[in-house]
Amino acid sequence: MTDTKHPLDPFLPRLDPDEPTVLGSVTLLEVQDVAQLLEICRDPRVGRYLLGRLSDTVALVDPGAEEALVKALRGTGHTPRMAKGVEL
Amino acid sequence: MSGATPRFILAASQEHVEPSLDHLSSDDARRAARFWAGKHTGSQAKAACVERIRAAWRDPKRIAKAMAALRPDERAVLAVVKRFGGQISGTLLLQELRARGIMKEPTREERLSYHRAADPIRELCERLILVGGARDYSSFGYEREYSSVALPQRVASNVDAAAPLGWKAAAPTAKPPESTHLRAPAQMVVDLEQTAGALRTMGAWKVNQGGALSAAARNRLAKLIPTSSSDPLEPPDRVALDYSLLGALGAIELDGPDGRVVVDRAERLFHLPTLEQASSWVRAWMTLRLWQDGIGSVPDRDSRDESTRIDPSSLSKARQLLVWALTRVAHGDGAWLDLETFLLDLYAATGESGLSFYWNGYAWHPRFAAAIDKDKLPAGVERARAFWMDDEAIWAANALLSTFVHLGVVERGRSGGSRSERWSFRLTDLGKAVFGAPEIQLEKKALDGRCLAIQPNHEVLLYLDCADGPAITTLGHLAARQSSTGIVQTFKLTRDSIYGALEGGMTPTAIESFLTERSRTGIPPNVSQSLAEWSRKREALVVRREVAFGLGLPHGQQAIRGRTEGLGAQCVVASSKAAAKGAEELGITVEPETPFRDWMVDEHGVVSLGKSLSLVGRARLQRFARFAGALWQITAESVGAARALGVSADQILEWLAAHLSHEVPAVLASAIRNWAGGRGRAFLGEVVLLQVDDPRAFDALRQSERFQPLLRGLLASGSLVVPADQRDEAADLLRELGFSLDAECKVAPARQKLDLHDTVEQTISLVRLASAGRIPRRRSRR
Repeated sequence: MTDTKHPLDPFLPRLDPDEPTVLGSVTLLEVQDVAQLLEICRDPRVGRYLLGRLSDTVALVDPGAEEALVKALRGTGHTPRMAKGVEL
Repeated sequence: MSGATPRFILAASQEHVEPSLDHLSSDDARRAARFWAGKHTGSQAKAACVERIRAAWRDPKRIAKAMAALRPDERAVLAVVKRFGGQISGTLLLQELRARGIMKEPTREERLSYHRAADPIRELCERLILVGGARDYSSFGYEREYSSVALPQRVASNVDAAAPLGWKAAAPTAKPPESTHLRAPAQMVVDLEQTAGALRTMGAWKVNQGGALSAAARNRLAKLIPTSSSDPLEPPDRVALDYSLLGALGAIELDGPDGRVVVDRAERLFHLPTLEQASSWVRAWMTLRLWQDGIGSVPDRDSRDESTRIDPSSLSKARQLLVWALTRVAHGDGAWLDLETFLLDLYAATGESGLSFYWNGYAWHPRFAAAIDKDKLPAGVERARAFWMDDEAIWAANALLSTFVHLGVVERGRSGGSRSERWSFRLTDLGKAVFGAPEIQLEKKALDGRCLAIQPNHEVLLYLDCADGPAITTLGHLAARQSSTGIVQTFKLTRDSIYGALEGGMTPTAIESFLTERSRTGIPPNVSQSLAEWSRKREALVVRREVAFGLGLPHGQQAIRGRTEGLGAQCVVASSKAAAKGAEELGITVEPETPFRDWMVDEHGVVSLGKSLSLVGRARLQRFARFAGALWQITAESVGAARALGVSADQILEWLAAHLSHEVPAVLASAIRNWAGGRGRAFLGEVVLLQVDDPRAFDALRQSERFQPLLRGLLASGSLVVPADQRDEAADLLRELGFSLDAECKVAPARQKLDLHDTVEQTISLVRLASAGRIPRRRSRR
């Protein structure tokens, strides 16, 4: 079981690979702060499409569920910005 | 955007045509050569004649000289063709020439005579001054008709375009109408923009034959753009009209069975000056096949048994002739025209074969005095006209007072009560410019572009009398339309509408500056605050696609460059390309997008992993399984916990299917569904079973009146259930009937494959019938 000290752990565990890992093409959900991520992942209608968190503000979206996630976010009153590629 | 000088509404767009010399007969070549190159005593062979024609055409002086030698009626014909942009349909050419007195309508005797008067069109075509020609001499007694003719460029430069024709009503309108109705042209722009916007949100949609909206697509569109109109003569099927116009204007493209909006073409169209847009609507209207005036949407097919539409080619001709008449009205005195008088004049001008088709059931059917008692009239001109006034004229009335009013080019007038009503019309200023171009131009109003008023309740009022295409288009992108009628239309800024605009590519700054520049009242502070808040909320949540990331990377690694802020020391988000390159440098294999299917799971829910567990695989497993004692196991608790996080049984099974090398054991799949909340129901208990092998004996027992009270129901074929407390009574009765109760209970092995239809389904239906007191007779099996 994952350590549950962090408030996000019960809802969105931290991704913690045993060895260095690179994922080539994924979709991430980025938020402003941990409270916003907590609010989103605690909502089962949205949280079901998230797999884990990279940090307190970045979560990995289940591959293949991007459209469903956006629809769920819109359905729960969020207005996510759709971005493509990394912005440095 | 400034527009070019508007063209004559009926002017053809194709201006450069050349006669085909290679297809001339020898006689025609000789005749044309004599005209262009003069008398010649040398070779009269076709090739030599063609060469002489070509030589003459290379000499501008020779062309001018040849043109100067033409007769006045021939020059007049060329002037008419020049007015129509160098190309004119045979129908319009004939109307123009008759209206100008260059040709006259043949009398009945002349029509029946073999004699034909001099025909300037035929002669011009024979001498290759015009391209195209007549096709009227093949049948005796027929109305003279022509195919399209065109003016080659070398000739056109020597011809002045004919002056416009006016229109004089047979009887002047006694007095102006008592009530009038007109529509601001900008209303049409708003309608088209909203329809295009709604279609854009639909993505692609299914179309029927010819490109018409399928019923499902039409229903979806109707929901997206609810229409309400206070105009009783609004065109039928208004959304279909918008759709058809957008299609004819090139803003919709068809790809097999699918249609979609061509966004940039639609945007370009809406940004055109109003006059150019209105002209393009009228030109598009002349080509519509899927929408007909006074009828609405029609299929692109005909039926032998019933009329489905007005014949498209007849309607196309009628539309040309109506527009032709309006080009003449535009050059009239601008007075109100009585509708019935105008239609009678139109009939007189175009003849019985001008507008000629049949339809019954127009949306609006005004009663004209000239059509009253049409059946009682004796055969002849008056009767034919009366019937025309009750069919073709009704179409024209719908086109004029419904469609054209909707397009903003005609103003409608009405006088009298319901029994004595008289309809009239006149062209709006825009209509005069559309139909009167190029001579009549739209007076340019000095507008500052401030056509909006923004209210603190986030409503935006759009003043159509001073709105332009760019304002309407931009407002349509960032606000939701609330009302669709009136000269002032209401839109509303909402979080969703602003979100749509931002996702569509507008920036918060662009939205703010548009509203500031176009508003007469500025932006109320609370609205400005809402805009900023909505933009900020959007920025606060980002779904970022097509990125890569690395986790657990060596401290201080520089191989994968990307964003590390707020991600911790061993994590980086980068472009896919940078991640792939850096991973190679670090000797890390990039996880494949499609997972290896190397997991196994048993009926206990124990998951055996393959060689290595991918990050995505592990993250998924963590959502629905528990790691204990070096094993991952799916349990009731782990599935319940996943359910609490929103993960459904189907999602778990999909994840398993993506990673397993085999199918999920059926009993585990059932268990997962049960654990996730859809608990399956089962009966486990003791029953007293009566089993009879012989089908006839079985049927006899289950239908026996004596036995009925001792039966609880039917379990399967040959098996009945007896209530436990009546077991002894049933045994006594069976013995009395001669049955011995020493047979073995026969059951099939549980793993035996079931014949679902014959066993389970049949049993269920038998049980249902039994519980309803209707046990059927056993069916014999063939």
